[in-house]
Amino acid sequence: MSATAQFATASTVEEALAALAAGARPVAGGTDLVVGARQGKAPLPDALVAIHRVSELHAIDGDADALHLGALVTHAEIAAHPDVRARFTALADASAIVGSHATRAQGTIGGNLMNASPAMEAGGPLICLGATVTLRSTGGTRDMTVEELLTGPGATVASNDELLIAVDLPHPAPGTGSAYVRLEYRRQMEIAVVGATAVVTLADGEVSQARVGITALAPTIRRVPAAEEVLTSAPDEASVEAAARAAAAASVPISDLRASERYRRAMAEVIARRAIEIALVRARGGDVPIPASAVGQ
Amino acid sequence: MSATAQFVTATTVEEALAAEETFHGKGAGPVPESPPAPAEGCVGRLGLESFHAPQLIAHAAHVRVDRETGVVRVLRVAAVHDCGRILNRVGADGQVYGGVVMGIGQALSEGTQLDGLGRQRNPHLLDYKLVTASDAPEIAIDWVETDTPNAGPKGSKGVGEPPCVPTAGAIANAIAKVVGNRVRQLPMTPERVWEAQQG
Repeated sequence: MSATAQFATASTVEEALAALAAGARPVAGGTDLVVGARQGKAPLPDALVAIHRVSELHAIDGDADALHLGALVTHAEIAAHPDVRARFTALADASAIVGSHATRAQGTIGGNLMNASPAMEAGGPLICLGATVTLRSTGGTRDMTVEELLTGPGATVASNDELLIAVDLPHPAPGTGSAYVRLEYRRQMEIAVVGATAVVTLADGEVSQARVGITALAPTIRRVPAAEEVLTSAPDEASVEAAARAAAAASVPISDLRASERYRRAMAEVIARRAIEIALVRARGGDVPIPASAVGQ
Repeated sequence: MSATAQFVTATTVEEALAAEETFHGKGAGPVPESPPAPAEGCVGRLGLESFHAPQLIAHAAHVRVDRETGVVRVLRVAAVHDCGRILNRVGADGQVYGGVVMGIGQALSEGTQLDGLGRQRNPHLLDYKLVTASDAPEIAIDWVETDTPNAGPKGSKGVGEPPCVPTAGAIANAIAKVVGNRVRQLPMTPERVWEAQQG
């Protein structure tokens, strides 16, 4: 672990942006940056600016149209928020199972997104729920979807002087249910080997809109349009199976110490089917406990 | 741990032998005669004198196998040990709780993975998967206290290592019964259990 030459603490967004413009990298919860440095993945940057005291980035609030998450909102805060649990249930499923209790208390949504792991839990729900992010630098502000933000393992479209300020989630249409399911070898301290998100909206008993996403199965978390099309045609058992197969077909998994490519592809179908089934139950008003990954386990 | 009064590093076998120290375990060198052991007790060379009295153990495991994923959850373990006279029931039970959880890790999740040069690929707790408190099952413990010749103080026998020995076997038998095939390698990860089901 190399020493960081410069360390500063910002108390406003402007101070943080000025530090970034001068070449510093931001640190919030430190659950990726510090752990990664200890494991030898990447040395700590020469200059760090701590942003955890920037109070305006801690906000979690909403209006009639959207839920607003400041970049420093923690996984634990998201998982416990009544509005998230009621209306953005897939995000609650995901936030409730990130790492350990300690990770969830410390890790932030902004850091999680900018770390851009294809295995991040929150990514699938955010993409499928249509979340946007706000990036800001001393030069200006821009908004984009989470899908547009993430470009590869550890890579985003953000430049080094841009700070993720907030994540905004549009309220889902009435009749929407969502779920995020992860394959779990044990009950705590897991990382996604295979994950899937489903968001379905029912109108008059028919699926009027569907979003299906796969996690840890490609260089980025991605939606599966073929699965979404199958679901919107007719929501019967056969279409759920077909959508799950489409999710597996869209996977380009790797083999590594956690699982083989073959097992991951087979599990993509199983986990996607479970996510879709639970999202449908929730869309019909059924109560499936959060996190959905614990169902039947 | 007591402090070592003298410490020298030998660079040849001759130097090591000249130090006239006792090398235990895998070491070489003269081993002094045991001090005379009392009629009862564990005092002896390497503390092994009393261990001619083996423990008898049976574990039973109730598991749930997710047949689609191969994920195994251990729901209950019953552990019955004959470790002679139990001198401290709370302490002895504690050994079994810990041993069973350790045995579940051996059975299902703890595996050292090496690369081609023998370096560990999972040298951290994210991928070397210890069993967490959330994974610990209900553990039912009972003791059979049998008089055994050569037992230790007050008729006791050891209960350090034994509780983690039979757990993996019990879990393996339970998995084989559910799956219909044996998983022949530890740990029995979800992928290995899933593979065994493919026939």
